[in-house]
Amino acid sequence: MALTTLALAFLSFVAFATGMNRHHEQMRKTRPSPRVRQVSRALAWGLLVLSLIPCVTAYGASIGLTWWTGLLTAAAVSVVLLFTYRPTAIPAVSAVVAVLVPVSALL
Amino acid sequence: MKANFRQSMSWLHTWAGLLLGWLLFAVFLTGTIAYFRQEVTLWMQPELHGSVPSPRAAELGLAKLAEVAPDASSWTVNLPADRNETLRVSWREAASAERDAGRGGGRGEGLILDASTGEVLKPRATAGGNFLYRFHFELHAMPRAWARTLVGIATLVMFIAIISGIITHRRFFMDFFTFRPSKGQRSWLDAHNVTAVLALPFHMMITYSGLLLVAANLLPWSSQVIFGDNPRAAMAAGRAAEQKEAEALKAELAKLGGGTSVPIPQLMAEAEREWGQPVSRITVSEPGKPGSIVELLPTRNDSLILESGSGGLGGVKLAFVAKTGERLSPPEPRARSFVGGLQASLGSLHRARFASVRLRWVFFLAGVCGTLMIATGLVLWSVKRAEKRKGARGTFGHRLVDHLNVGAVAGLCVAVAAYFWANRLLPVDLASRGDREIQVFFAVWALTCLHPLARPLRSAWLEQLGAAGLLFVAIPVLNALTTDSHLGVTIPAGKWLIAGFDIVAFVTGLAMLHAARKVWRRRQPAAPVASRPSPSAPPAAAVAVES
Repeated sequence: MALTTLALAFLSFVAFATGMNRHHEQMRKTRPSPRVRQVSRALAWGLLVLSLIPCVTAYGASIGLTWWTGLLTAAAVSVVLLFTYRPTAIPAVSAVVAVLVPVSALL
Repeated sequence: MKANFRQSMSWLHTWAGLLLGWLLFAVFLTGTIAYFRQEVTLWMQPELHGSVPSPRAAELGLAKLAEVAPDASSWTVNLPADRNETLRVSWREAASAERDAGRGGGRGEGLILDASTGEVLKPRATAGGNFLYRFHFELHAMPRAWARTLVGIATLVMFIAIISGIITHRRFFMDFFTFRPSKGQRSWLDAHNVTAVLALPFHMMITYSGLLLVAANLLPWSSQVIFGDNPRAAMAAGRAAEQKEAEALKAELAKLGGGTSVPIPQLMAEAEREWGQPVSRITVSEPGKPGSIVELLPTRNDSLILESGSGGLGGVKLAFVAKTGERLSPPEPRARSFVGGLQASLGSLHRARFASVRLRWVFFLAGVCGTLMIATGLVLWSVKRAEKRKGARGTFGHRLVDHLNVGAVAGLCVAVAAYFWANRLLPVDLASRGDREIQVFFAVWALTCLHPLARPLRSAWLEQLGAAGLLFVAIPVLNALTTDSHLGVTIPAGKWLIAGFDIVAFVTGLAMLHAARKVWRRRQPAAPVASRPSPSAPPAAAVAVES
């Protein structure tokens, strides 16, 4: 369950970054259109809320929230490292992580 | 007005951070390692590494107790669990129990056993992970109350630095995921921001809860208000009342007669079904005699609000009448206010006592972020001033901070590595061996604080980062040369508890060697420029590398 949360949080942060000028340029060499900015921001918040669910169902409210907060840090650290050293690989990595969500949830 | 407010916050952040930053770095570094206190201690006692958990552990432990202490007033069996692979038994003799009753219990005697053979193991003496844990809030060789007060003040300053830091660095939220390496001051600021913001919930939690844990030392009269003038007497009275109740229960149960009809493993199975997690401790009072009670403790709590049991185990125990296997009703839960519950939750969050090994890794990662945040903040102070002076020689104060940073940051890493080396290299039967390990730690740290005063700044960083890196990278090799539980054995056997230490040490060493390499690279082109105005000038800007 921790893995599902980690994957969802990772995707959420990538979505947040997609909606930001600087980070969009790092990934795609262009600035995001206003439409892309809006959609990715909404998507990011949705994924963030969604990422809380597997943790809380697996570990209960208090310890689930603790897990969630910690995993957000872990996900954000990996996004920062990718933006620093392999920004163009982020879309491909995200696709793999997206597959990981249902797989880890079913395991 | 707004700019003014931000400026004053920036001033506060800079000076509050610098003043206690060195102490806070030490507190964070040792505190982060302390999340794996038991695992570190286990690594430091290689004589225990052969023990493998087995389902027979409970029986082996009880059999050993029946053999060595048949007349004891109580037995305790600590079973192997996910953080400890040995079996530990202890007992209290009837006579000593009576003697200790007035003082609230002595230690009794104990043995460490191999969990699958029941053989008695004799580990070497070590200060273990416990020293690093104690150091992180009580320092060393200083009256406890002073040390706690000092750490408490540092914690308060940390809290101030976090709040003022959020206001100072608020621009960070605009490019949230940005880290630009090898760009001088810019990189240090990025690294400081990233490690601060990404683990911000952890930093707030750990600082605030840490503050609560030492609050009694900062407000020395508060406990007097709550517990009266003589808190010890109040506690003793509480204990006496509890004991009276226990005696009454014992007398009641004694009527049933001695002996056991229900085997303990069967009680354990019942408890495990109910908890959904393994039993970690069995306590038998008056074993084999009339009135005997069996108590079982879970491995960990499954909610933050629960107080943990002794040794950080779960707090929800189940008690059975040994004679009949009948369950005793649990004591009435104490009514607790919202604030009381909040305090318990923050206390358990700080200590991570509820955390499984996997969750412990998450806490460890956040702790590493906090340690890096303080280190980068300290270096940033130096780098910023060095870039402003553009190669000119700094004032005495600047140079002092620049050079002390080396010993406080890199030097402490060298000292921690040396502490682990001492554990393997000191003779196994050395008298007061644990103290010797600690002496090695402080001797090395003292040397690393003096060394930068005699060296150009860049060389001091290079040499100390290099030394720490080499010492850490070589720990798996040292372990292979001095013990039989090196990576070549522990990985194939799946003993990750022990292999984990070697791997983390190796990775830490690599990171430090990488940092040292960055300092080395910067040294080449900048050296002639720096040597022109003054041959001994500390070119602080050159330290502007990514860690």
